[in-house]
Amino acid sequence: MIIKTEKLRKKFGNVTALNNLDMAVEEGEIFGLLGPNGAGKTTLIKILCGLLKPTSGTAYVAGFDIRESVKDIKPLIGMVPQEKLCEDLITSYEYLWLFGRLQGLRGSRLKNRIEEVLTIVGLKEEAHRLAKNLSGGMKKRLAIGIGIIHKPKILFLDEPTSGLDPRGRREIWHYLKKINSEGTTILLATHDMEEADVLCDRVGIINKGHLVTVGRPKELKLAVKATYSIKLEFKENMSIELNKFSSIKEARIKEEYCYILVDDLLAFFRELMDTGNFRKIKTIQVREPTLEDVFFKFTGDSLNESFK
Amino acid sequence: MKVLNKILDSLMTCFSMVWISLKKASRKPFFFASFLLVFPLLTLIGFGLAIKGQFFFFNKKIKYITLLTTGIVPMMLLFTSAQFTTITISNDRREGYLELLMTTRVNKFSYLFYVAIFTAIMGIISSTVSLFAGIMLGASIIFSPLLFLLILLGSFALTGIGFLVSSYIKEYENAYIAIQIIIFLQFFLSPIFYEEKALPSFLHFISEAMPLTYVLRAFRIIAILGPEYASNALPSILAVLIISFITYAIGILFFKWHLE
Repeated sequence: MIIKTEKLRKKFGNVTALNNLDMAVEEGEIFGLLGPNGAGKTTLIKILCGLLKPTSGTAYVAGFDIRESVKDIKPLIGMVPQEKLCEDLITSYEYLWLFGRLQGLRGSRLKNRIEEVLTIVGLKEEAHRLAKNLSGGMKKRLAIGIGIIHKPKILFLDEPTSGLDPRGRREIWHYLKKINSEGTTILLATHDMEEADVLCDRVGIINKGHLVTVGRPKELKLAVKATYSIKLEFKENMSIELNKFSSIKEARIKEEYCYILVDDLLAFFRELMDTGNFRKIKTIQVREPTLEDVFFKFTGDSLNESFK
Repeated sequence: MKVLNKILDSLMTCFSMVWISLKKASRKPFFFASFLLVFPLLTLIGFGLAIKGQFFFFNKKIKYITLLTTGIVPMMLLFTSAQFTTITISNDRREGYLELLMTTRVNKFSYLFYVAIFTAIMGIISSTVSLFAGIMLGASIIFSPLLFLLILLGSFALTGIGFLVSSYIKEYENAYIAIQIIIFLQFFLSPIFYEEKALPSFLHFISEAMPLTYVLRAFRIIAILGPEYASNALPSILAVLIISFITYAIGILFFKWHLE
């Protein structure tokens, strides 16, 4: 295990951000921390990077205890924070030069590595353009480049694609897969279930400071044990009595939405018609179960607002 | 040998950050020119041309422009050192740059040393410009290596105030307001534009509590009377050293190299 946490707890005043969290990440994998805002993902990453001190418990990064050996951990990790970065009046090349130097690279080793990183993150053409003039996606790629300039064993990313358009997101996923294929373990925090599904070898669902479940996305989705996931939107002041439906395996109502898991789609729609409830429905979405449903199953809560 | 390598490595790290900061500064020429050059020049020309007359400094007859120039140079050191330090650190914190640095091998000493060197360079530029502009306007300054040492010492000493402020106050806006208040208190209560004896006696007590007063006093003695009067400047130099030691010690102690 390249990362391991043991009863990790972090409190900010009266707020418990992480609550006795036990988690392990294997070397070489892309591990996704999936959870809503405020779940404790960023806190966990900041603790693992040595930026925050845990209230109790500990964690091991590349074999070093974060309570005792932060100095040994730092050369082995790279971090891409959530905050806006690369807004300065220096070029991509200068950013990489600076962080390469700060990480101990010198001379031709540094020069060669900058060229390598520019190729990896696809910024060779933009190397001498001021970072503040780059597009959002390019800035993110540059931030990733800064994170990997010293070939870290582990790369931490906090919401790496937030604020990017679908094309920008897919580009970042492509580059992250490339970096991972070269041997870097990646731990990324996200609330984007598609990102976790497409990119991650394993996903840990985190909610209110607890690790709810861990597994491969496919395995987690199997745990939902239903063929279809349906989202109904009710018309104003309308609702239906779900316990009258024999076709429903699991259901939750939240505000004007209803989330339903079924195996027999046809039987469900027949029941909806027969009970005269069809007229109460404004929109219907049908799909295969996703990590969102997994999140529902384990927490009884909605993962993010975008699902609505 | 290992320790020496570590020190050398830290120095290289510092200078890399200084080099990049200078590059950034060169890409904002109007901001830096207005701050480092235009401001001291306008002050010198404005006050220098407006106020005439003879003054006595240690029984030496001097022109007002000499008094003013030897006040403006330490003032610019205060502006660049204390203000640039606070702005640099607070801005790095706000932009997430400091957080990113904390995940690298860089330690807080290297980072603070980089800030001190960068602001010292800015201080040297602005004070040199002010000195030569003063001379062009008729100030008589005695140049000596001690004078430049004092500029350097003043710059490093006043940087400590910036460390103190940005260690205690984490938000950019609050830190900026705090440093402005500190600067302007010293701006008016340290004898930049007037002789020390012109200050009302009840304000002397406050003036003595201002670090700038000591930098200014020492600088004025060496610049106007020459290095042979160094013994007269010694108490002020010692005061500057003590103030720097205290502000650096507290600033470094309270400057956390992790998040809270």
